[in-house]
Amino acid sequence: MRAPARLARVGAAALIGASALTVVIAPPGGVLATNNTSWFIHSETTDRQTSDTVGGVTTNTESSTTITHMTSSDGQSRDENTTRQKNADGSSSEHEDIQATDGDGSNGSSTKESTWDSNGGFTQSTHNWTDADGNRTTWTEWEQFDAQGHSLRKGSDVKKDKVTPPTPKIPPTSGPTSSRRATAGATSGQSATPAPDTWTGTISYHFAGTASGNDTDNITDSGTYDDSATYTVVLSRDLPTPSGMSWSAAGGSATSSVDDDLLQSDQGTSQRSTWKGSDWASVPQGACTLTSAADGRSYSLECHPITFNNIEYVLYEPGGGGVYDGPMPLTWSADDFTIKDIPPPSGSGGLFGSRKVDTRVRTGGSATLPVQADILWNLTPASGPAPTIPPDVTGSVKVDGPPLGVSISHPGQRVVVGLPLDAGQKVTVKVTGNMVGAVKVSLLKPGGSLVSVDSSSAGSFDLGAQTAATSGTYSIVVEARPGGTGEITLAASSQ
Amino acid sequence: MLHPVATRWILVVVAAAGIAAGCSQSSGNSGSPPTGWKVSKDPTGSCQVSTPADWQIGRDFFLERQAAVSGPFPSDSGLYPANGLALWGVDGSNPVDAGPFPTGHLFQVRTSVVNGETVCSVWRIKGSTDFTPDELDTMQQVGKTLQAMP
Repeated sequence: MRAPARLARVGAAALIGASALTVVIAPPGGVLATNNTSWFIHSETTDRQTSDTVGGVTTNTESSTTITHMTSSDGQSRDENTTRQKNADGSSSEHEDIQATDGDGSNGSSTKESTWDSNGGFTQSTHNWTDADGNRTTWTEWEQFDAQGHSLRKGSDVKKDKVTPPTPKIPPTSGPTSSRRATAGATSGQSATPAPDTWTGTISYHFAGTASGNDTDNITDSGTYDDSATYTVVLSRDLPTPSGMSWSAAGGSATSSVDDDLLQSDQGTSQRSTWKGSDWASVPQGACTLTSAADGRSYSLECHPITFNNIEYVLYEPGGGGVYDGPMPLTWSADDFTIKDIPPPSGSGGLFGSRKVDTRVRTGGSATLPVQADILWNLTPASGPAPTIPPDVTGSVKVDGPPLGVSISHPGQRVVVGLPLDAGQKVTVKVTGNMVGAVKVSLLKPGGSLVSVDSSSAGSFDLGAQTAATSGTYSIVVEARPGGTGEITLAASSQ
Repeated sequence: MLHPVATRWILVVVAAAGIAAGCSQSSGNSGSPPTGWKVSKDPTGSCQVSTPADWQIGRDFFLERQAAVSGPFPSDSGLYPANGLALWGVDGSNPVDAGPFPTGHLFQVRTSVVNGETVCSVWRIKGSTDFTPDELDTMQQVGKTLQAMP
């Protein structure tokens, strides 16, 4: 007789939880297209609670796994497997695997590990979204979060519906200009010349005004980038406040490491964006004040006394697009705290309009670490020879045959291994000896459509067992995280 | 003893918050409900769904409206219904602070209609065993009647 009441509570909790989530990450405004899409969602959740008593000491842990399959009327799909665990010492963790297909048939996948220590400190593993259809301009992204980290995000997620910047984006201030591709925000005098749609290389930042020797002074991201797209660097606010940022973008050839053989280069400078705070959702009345400095462009945030533990915050573009799409609880041990003197932009360019700092406060504990900063700039790599990626490494394996060792010798190079299968034949793709690091391994049908995919940096792992729908030569495709090279061994098993 | 249906099912209908008040054009699957089904609306009237007549709101199903979330792809703009852990009332923050996990082994079937920033969703939760094909068919029929008015 208690089951209905429990399920009703779950249903109500689902309502509350879903509402809370959307408060945090939903764009608060902006003009968004009506898509009128219907989703059919099937989800399963399992909760495991353990209680061990050893020597009179009881240890309780709890783990919840949720598996969700979503399909939409316009051809999208999303499979999600998330496990969360709460430990007795107050720490917790989350593992998330997502595979998705968008409306135009592009496939994407993501694996993410998040941990919270007993003090609320948050770390998140490399979060790698890649696509499986070769359309790398769509979803290529590499981001990394940690308490003192940064992430690089392609502009489409942070600039959606963004209002027109009040001033031009950061123009390059040095470097060759005659061959630079003209883009929105580019300085006058730049010529429009053909350029590759994407380029593989590195983006390096140097933050002026920070302590010498600080590891965060110089950061490099390696990846595949859209030509002339806008990217965002999201910085943890606990980094020393820089007075400015210089950056360089370099594409590389496939015949050498990108750092040693630069084929494209560009230089530019940027300054920290202006901040403007508002909308203190759920902050206790009077606990915090947010004021603008005399220049009208910087701000200070003061909270005292601290009677709460975790402040979570979300940053929004002026037009409402989410800059940071999730809350980050951080710990603050002081009685009071002040975030102040975020310097206004200086020099020409660099002002993209105000930012809104949206916060939530959770009860219990004492925590707060303020705000992230994001810096937008426009990438306008100089034109030059398109990066050359060597041909795929090829080979073949048979079910229960000998394993095949292959090597990815250049960033961007793929491994494509043939696998003949008969209709109805069961097969498990096995990966061993992975020296590449984070890789995505896909099994494709003879026509090229995706059967299964997994992303992992483990030394050994399997794709899930599959049954061949048709006879023919299937393909095992290995793709490394941008910049990744090394050896890896593939095999196919009937077990 | 409660009716078996009542003991095994919870249906939750969520209708997402409309942003553009005053816009009266509805959207959804516009399926025709079977004879004898009843129409239910959320408290604001923005979402409407037809269900079997013996389904009671708040017990066999719930009705609410909600705003869309952005994503799910970090680099792909778009609006989507709640997904992942949010389906189960767990938000995306520190699990220790995110509220209790739903306990036991539960299954959920939901249909959501995204209309701009408005999402209307209908879902049922079942304990211990997954939904049968007939139950899924019924839920799909219910979902086809779901309409969202932004």
